[in-house]
Amino acid sequence: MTITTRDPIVAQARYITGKAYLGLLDLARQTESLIGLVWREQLKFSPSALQIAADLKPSLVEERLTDEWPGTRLFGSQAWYRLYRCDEHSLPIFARAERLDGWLAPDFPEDMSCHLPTGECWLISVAHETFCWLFPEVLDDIRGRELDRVLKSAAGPDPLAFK
Amino acid sequence: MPDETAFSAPAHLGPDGLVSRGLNRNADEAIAAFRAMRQTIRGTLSPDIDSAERLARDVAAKLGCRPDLRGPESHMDGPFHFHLQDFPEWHFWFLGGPLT
Repeated sequence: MTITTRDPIVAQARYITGKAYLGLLDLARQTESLIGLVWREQLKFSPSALQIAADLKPSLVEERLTDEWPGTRLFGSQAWYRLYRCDEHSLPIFARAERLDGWLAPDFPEDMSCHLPTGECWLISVAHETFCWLFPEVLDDIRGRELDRVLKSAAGPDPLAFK
Repeated sequence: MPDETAFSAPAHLGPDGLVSRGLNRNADEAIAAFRAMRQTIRGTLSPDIDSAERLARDVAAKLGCRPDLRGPESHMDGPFHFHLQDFPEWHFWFLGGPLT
């Protein structure tokens, strides 16, 4: 996993919902990206979050117990970080959250991230903070512009507006 | 008598990092200061990790929410903090964290 040093776009994840959220997933599919999700040991998850792990198992590429994943570093606790293929099997499961900051315990695993097959990260989110960081320059020109369009289609007054 | 272990400062994360001004002598003052803040990423700064954890549990008791904590954690190499799991808007930052 690589996080580029280029300046990201910082946005409010709460507004990336509906069409914009599905647009992100489609972009992940087009780019054959891997999608990361997190189950923290510190948190209690409901059966629906555990079911997601079971349902996604055929698309699992990698899992590790770690104190660090894109956007977050823990001190004194750990989490299961799992990377999945974004394919026809997994896409409807990723759509269950309905919004980027919907990936939040107890009903869901947390902090969706998207990575190119090369490992470069183009989406980082921290759901409980309702923030996300997008790196359009990691994508090719066409996909980078598409990511911009996805952001512009986000709901709310302005996903980039925060104090 | 105020509980000295509960001392903290109102704080928010601005473009140049963590900004703290003023003093909360106890959890009640911390709650009042938090409610008065307008910044998006807000909370309190405590002198060390233990006092931040105590303050979080005091705040939970005052607000009637579960004392279960999330963290300590850091995002995008920012300052370490706790949250109450039931109240993620409040950042319980502390001095002397792993990166300071």
